[in-house]
Amino acid sequence: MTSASENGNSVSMTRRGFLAKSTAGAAGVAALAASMSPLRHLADDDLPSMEEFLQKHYKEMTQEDKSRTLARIANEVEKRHGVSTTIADPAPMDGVEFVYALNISRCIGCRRCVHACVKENNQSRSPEVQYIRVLEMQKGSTDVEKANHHYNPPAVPEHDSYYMPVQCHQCAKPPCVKVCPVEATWQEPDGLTVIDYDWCIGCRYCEAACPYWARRFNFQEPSIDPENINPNMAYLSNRPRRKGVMEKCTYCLQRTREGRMPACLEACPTGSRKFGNVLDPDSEVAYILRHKRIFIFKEAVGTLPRFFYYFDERGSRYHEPTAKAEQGGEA
Amino acid sequence: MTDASLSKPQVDALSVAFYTIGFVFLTVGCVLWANPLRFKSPAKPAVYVEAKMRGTQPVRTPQLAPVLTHATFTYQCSDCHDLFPSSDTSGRRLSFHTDITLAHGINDRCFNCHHQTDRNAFAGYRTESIPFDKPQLLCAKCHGPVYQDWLHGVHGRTDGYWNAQFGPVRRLKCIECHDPHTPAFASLKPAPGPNTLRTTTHEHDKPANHKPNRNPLMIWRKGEPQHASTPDAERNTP
Repeated sequence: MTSASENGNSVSMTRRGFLAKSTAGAAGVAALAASMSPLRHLADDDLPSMEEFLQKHYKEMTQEDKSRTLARIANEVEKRHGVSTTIADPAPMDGVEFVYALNISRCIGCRRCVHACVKENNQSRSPEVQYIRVLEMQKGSTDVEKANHHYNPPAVPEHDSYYMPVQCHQCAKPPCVKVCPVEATWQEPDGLTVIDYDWCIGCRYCEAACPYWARRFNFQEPSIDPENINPNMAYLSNRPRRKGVMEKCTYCLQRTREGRMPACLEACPTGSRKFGNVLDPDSEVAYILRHKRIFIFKEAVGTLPRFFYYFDERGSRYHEPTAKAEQGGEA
Repeated sequence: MTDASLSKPQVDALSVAFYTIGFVFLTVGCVLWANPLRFKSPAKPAVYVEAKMRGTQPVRTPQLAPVLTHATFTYQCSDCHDLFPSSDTSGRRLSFHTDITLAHGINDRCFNCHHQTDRNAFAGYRTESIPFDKPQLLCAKCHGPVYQDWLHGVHGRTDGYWNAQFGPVRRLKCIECHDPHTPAFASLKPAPGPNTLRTTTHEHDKPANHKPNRNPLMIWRKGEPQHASTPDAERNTP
């Protein structure tokens, strides 16, 4: 612009006009810079590295791709959380189909499973992500609309309630997998529905499709204290997630594919939780399915869950009164 | 006249537009840079529950042996009870074991479960004894169906591995969860409830005579008064 005025084109460009245009131009540049100013807040690792950007889908990775990816993720976890770890990728076992059974007449709703799960699976603490939701149900009813998951009495169980923990049911016909537009979630041969967190685009269709409200979305960058991070990680389950991806219960795949029990089961003080290989006729879950009374949550939606609630014929809580008035009368 | 003729055509619409656009751009630029509407996360601060709220220890750690440790001395049951035999007809009149509360159904005698002559053992069906490390056999005398469930791993917790080929499997014994003298499973303080982004509390959903029914999907009620901090007090009010 200055060169234009110096060239003597003074008839079309007056001093005032020049000032006006240059002010507008400077303001435009300033506005452009200001609109880019959110980039100031980007951390080093907010943009994906070229390696991450070009990473293939989990199922298309060769063995070398996988080991390279696992090393990269371990590196990133160390950089971001300050925890040195190795990311495993345990394969599904042959002849194994995982099934969960939960004794609904023994659960006391103490939520130990919820927090054991959070610790094991490195869920975000703020904002909070929990895979297990324990519903406080009215005795004599299976109406989940009237259930309360914010109960906080001084002690559980309460006389007029029973408790139903709900988590991913690992359905044999999973609607969440069907709706995924990018195939970032799929069912493994051992029945576990898993997510490739590097492939998920965060559209949350799966969350809407799940009848059990089992999927969780990372609305914000997850935050975990380094001392609370579980370093035993697997690619498909409990490695730290980023903002904008879905996550869900995987029956603690990093443990169960090595033969160990899920963390929620180990923390249950009542022994209400049962886990095992349903294809093994000697397993606990196979016995439960053969001999106990089973309740399949939302059976009518036809997703064929691998999570079963079962009952005892006589439970320790059957004698408890079901209404406050009765208890008051006895006292 | 010359002044007017010179200045008049300069204040044309184009210049005004440039000035205005420039001013607007500058203002927007300043506002964006100052960032007054900074994103404020609605996420609540992190809740780290204490380790015992997710511990894997059984509820109880019984000794599974007929021993009593008292003032650093360890006694076998028989050490005292051989000297002081108790009557099987009397009720409990104890100067020792006063910490024991017996609330086990119709059982009101020690010898319903403890062996009368072999004091280091439990009572079997007739005169035989059941060792202290196999309390399940004693419990099975009355609780047959539960014992069958326990044998198949349906009742009670199984620690370790889901198949013995991967590692040790340990099934917790009856008295690792139940106090044999007061066998009802003790109530526990619940660990903190969910505190998720979309979760609000809904006093207005609560019928007067029942517990609060809070639907976490009702985000439009977010502005309403919170009562998460005092749910107990509210629940106790009739």
